[in-house]
Amino acid sequence: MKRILLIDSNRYSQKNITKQLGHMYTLDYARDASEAVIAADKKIPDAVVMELTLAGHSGLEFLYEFRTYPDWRDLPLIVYSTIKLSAEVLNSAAWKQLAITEYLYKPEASLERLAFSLEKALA
Amino acid sequence: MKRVIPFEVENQTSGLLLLLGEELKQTLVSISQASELQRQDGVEINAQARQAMKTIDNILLYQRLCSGQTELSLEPVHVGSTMQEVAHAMQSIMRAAGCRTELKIQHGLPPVDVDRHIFASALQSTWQAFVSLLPENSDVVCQAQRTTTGIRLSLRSTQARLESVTFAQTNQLSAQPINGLPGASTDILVARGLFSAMGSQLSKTVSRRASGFGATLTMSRQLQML
Repeated sequence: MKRILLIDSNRYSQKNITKQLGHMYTLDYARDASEAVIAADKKIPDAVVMELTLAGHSGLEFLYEFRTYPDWRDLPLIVYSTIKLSAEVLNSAAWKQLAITEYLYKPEASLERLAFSLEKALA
Repeated sequence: MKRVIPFEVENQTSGLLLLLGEELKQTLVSISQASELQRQDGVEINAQARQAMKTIDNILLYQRLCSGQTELSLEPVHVGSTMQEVAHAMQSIMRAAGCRTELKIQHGLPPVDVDRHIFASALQSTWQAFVSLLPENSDVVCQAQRTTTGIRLSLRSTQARLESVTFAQTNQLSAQPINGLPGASTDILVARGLFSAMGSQLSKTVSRRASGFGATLTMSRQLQML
């Protein structure tokens, strides 16, 4: 079973994503950026699903740091967030540099859509 | 009963409304996800909806206070009964979070001079904020005891890790800053404002290995005059 690192501070969201993906993947969890770095190091995930609104440091700060590590530079990473990013941000060079596999806006993207995107990212 | 206009309420309601929008979006996403998962246990959906509604109620109450549309109705209130009432309202949220409650109410506590409705809302906002900071399977002690200055209320847990952070930082543990505001967790900001409106102050509390939040309320003036 492939390993997914789920980074989300919201307990309910974490549980709901687990119920959708738990039977397809082995899930590891992190509530904030520092837990995420430790979990990625220890569990060696095949992909990451993350919220941008995290406890403490912002998800963007985490992303910039995460992608500086050579081992994690090309890891599939789906941003699944309540933060609405504008087309301007999504088309910016800074965002492209982060090599985000897919950005999904939570209020518009169902859990099924997340599962589909993840399957595609891992294919 | 005495009606007074709260003398000092920090006016940050416009910021709170922005945070409220972000926070409710997260809660509503959770609710829609939960309903998408048909095998989801109903109690969790219910808990999420209740929390969202209570958050709206509390922030609107706070806004009415700040804008002078609501006055405080001070009257002698028994802390214990309000704590039990709030503990009951928190049951589904606690269950969904996998947390347990222990009420420790000192016997024979005198009443305090507060607005009953605002006191209950302040306590519930504090409780909701506190639960969001705790890992699953935490034990929460809700305590009321007499001190030299009044009645001390506290919400503590041995699983909370608040010892080494300031009160201001505790909010950031549950939410990241948005547009320069302290975070999307409006509950703690509202709780602080509501306690402040009653002439009290919500603060971080640390005892032995447990940490959490607490506030001291003054005893009923009627009682002090006896």
